[in-house]
Amino acid sequence: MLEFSGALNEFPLFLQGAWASILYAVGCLTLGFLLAVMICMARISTVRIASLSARVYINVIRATPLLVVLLIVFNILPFVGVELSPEASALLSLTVCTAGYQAEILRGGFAGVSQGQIEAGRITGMSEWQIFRHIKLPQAFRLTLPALINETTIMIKGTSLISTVGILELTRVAQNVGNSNFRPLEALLIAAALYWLMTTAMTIAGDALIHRYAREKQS
Amino acid sequence: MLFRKLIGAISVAAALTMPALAQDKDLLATVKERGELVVGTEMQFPPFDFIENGKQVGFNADLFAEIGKELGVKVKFIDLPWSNVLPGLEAGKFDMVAGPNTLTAARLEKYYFNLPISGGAISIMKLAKNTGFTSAEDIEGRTFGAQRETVSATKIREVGEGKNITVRDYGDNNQAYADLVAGRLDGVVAQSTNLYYAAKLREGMFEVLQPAIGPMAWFSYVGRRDENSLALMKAIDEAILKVSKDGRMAEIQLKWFGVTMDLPETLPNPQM
Repeated sequence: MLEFSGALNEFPLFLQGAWASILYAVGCLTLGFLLAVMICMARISTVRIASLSARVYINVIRATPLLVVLLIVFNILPFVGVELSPEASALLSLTVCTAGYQAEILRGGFAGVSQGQIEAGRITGMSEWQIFRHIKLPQAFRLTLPALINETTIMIKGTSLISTVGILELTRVAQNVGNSNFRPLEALLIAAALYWLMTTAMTIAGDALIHRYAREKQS
Repeated sequence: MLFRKLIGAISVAAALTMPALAQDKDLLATVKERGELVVGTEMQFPPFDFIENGKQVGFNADLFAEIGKELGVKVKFIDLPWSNVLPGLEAGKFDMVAGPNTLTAARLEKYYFNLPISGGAISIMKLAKNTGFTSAEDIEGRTFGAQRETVSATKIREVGEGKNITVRDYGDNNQAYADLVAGRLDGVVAQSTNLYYAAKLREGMFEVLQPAIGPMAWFSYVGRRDENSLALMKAIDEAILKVSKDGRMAEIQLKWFGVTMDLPETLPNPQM
């Protein structure tokens, strides 16, 4: 029989863990997006060295599990002189990972922006930065929004690994609570429900945004 | 150009997130300066460290509160899976490690062991209702659980050689206890201090078997064996000695182990 009272007594701790998961997810997704835009620019640039470096980066990141990235950043970087706190190690690892994936997602979006609009921008005297900022980026973002939302739900769950570098997040809370009262199943179910709430809230917000963009396009 | 500007911004951001490199400085001076001693530990290790009502409690929290008073600094604990605690110490993520660690010759070569704060012998705990298992010598064909990367996990394999036993490694002791309760294990192998505490918490559920399968060993907090750490380690030793001598240690031991234990005033030779 399930017996939730023990785990529910520790509910504030679950909320604290969930809050940490949200903070790290939002942090890595935001920083990751900025980094991804740059990597993507490099990837589609005609400068060979830039596009080659971006390709190597994306391939290495896609081939490396997040847990391995975390352990490298936490345990190995100090030996080459890079000292990061557990918090910074976690954020950096999550960011470099999601940036690789987001860069590939965005590449499809940038490819979908019509050449005509870009030329129109040039003719009207827009600078390359203005064309990027007002024509390319907004459209690439809208075109790839469903895939980006998918990536955010993946990263919300990806934060469950950062306890390996000493961050108390939702999964670690569930393990701590479940193993302290010998009721791991109930604690993990509570954590699962909270992850479900977080990712569902994220996808609902994302869908609303997609609908709004669709309406704007029609009008 | 845009690209260059962004790269510039990133380098600045990277430089800002990197804290001042503390490597060339004496660790004791650094700790006093920041007013905080950072301790790595794993919080599913009752009675030393565990979570109750949302807070870290246990022997370590109480003893480090006293050590912090002696040093005049606050103590901050970082909770990690045990298998990443000692690597984290080596990588300089914390000033020292709680745990505690069992004093062994192999570990002593690698880490600075503070004065022992407790001791025990590796033992086997089983379910009280499992009446067919009555002696720690009767292990033939049984399944045991132990915490990964501990002397207990090594010892049961050594003792069980040729006896057809199965040993499962767990991330922490509490997971192994949970599997013992669930009937997936015949016994959990750990230090007697932990086992007696688990048995005391769940009166009538567990039983610790005699005899112990390992020799009596001491438990210590550990630090790095480098020059920068030396002054801090000596200061911790002094604090432990003072807390032992004025009776605070006995109080904390009584509270968490149910017994008091005389501790050596110099680091003993490893028994293992």
